[in-house]
Amino acid sequence: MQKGGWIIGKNDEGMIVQPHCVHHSDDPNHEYSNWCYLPDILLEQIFSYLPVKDRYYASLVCRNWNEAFYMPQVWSSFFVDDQTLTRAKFNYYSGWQYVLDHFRTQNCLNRIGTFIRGLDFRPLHSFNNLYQFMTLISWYMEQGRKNASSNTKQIGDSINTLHYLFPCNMAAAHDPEGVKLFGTGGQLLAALKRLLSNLTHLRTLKLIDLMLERYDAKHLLDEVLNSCCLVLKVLHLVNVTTMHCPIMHVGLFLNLQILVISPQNIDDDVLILLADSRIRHLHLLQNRYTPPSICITPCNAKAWRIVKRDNSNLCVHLRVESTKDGEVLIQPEAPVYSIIYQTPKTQINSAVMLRIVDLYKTTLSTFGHESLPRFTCAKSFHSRADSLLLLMVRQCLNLTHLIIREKVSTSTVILLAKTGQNLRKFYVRRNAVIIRCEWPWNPEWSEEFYQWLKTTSKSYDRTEEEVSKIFGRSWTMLTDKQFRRAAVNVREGL
Amino acid sequence: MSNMIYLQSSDGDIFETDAQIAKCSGTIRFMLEDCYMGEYEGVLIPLPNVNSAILRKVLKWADHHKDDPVPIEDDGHSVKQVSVFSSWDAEFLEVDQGTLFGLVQAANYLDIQGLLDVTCKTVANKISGKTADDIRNTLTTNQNKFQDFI
Repeated sequence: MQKGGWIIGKNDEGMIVQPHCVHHSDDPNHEYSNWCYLPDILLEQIFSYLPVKDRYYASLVCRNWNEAFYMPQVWSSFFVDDQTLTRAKFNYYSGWQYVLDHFRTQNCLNRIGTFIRGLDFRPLHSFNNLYQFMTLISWYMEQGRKNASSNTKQIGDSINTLHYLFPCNMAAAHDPEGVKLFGTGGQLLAALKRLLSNLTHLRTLKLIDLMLERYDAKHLLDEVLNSCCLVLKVLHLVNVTTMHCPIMHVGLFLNLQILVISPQNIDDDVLILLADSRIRHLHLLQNRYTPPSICITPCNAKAWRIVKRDNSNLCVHLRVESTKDGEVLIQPEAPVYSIIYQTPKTQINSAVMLRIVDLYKTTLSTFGHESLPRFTCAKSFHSRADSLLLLMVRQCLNLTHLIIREKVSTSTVILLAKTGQNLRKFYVRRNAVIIRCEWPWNPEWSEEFYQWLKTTSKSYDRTEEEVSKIFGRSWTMLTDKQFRRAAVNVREGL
Repeated sequence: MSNMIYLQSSDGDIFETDAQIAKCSGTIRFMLEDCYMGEYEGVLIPLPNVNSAILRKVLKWADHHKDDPVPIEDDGHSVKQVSVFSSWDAEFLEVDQGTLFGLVQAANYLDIQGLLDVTCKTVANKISGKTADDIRNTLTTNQNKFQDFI
């Protein structure tokens, strides 16, 4: 009876482990754990959350779990990184390297290839493995199609999702600061295009940080457009190029609903194409490899006006992601519904805030800064963002989600809650709220109101109580941990 | 309009709850809308597969999540991420493995997709990064062991 199992040790060497405790399974009164009898459908779901290695270990736990290993749903998404289906091989020049194990890959594709419904490529260094894997799976698909005599399902028939994240940042080991950005291209791009041309049922396609040359970028989507023109629903195309290079193809997918694209890859002509399409959500994403917003030209107000006229359901979302600071690229007169920053060092800036309020006050429904700030917020009332936030809440009547991470006072929190008629989700960090009431008396306020504001803002508990009363449901300020989670939830709800 | 209904657990305890909250369960929603044709004020629904302790937890979860937006039906084939759920859920699921097992099964029986997702993710979190033996030790007590793998 085999009780141990193979594991990969600390030095990435395979070794057999023996169980430490001996189970007395001969005992007839022995009661087995009910985890063995978990229904298949649940086991399938649990297994699908595990990475491949853990899936294998879990399959050694008991007989039922072993059967779960080969259930179709478990393999519905397949993750490819540097170590997927590889074996260690010693190279005289660079030491131990992981190279794609062709035998195992073929075994794997034969056994579970038809179950795969989503492919996710996340290579880090080993482009050779990636290239070989893409070629192998393309070959399987082509062979399957060639021999498609029966009605059996072929590999790739059910693949409807492809994610491809290219690690474009190649910082040299001795100089981590000197970031160099290289895109893909050449044979790797050819292999990707071959794979894309074989996937005819794609509904979601994400190509991130490819950083192509202009010529390559213009032809990147040729195959996809040819094979998935009617079925594609979600397209992410982030940083296809670093320079200005509009990708016309995106406007030609007839049933596309969500498009995520970098602002340098659209221009007025693309917008006019999008105006005639059925796209509901257009996300303009600037990630950390996108050039800074001052280097990109926004589209013209005229083009946005055409979009608003012809595709009135379209919602535009602006988003900045960076490890340092970054500013959102303002698109004049665009129907912007949300603006989210995920930049630890961007402070609320009055010039940008005023432009945002001025341009998007009729549509804006979500505004906020995710993640905790990596700068010290000023303490004095005039250098804080309190008045800007109140201005925004007062002007943007449709604002429903507001995420504040900078320092504000308790009185501002109450005023924001009082002013925001449609505010449904209001996130404030307790660590960044100070007990103050610096607001000067406003002629619109009655004397009583001002007194009430002053007394209420004297403690956190009173503030929370009053805001709960205003919203009609319980409301609390968030701890930093909760704040981070809450902000992520808002992003996923968009 | 608040419609109270009664749920009876496997050990006979009766819980009074708002129909709106109970409706997060697909099983109960189906019963209320199809069997009672929408007129369900004060009906008693027996739940023979769920015991009181678990039902109490499930109702607590449902009450907390009653305002959640209806999840968008995506294709579900994007790569699943382990460990993205709210802090409330994380605290809620810090329970012993017996209760966790009961919750997974109850979520499945009652057809509550949100609860099923978080409980399955919690189980996956418990399993991941462990060898087969560690998994057995984590999920069992001295009294009940895993059926041996032959």
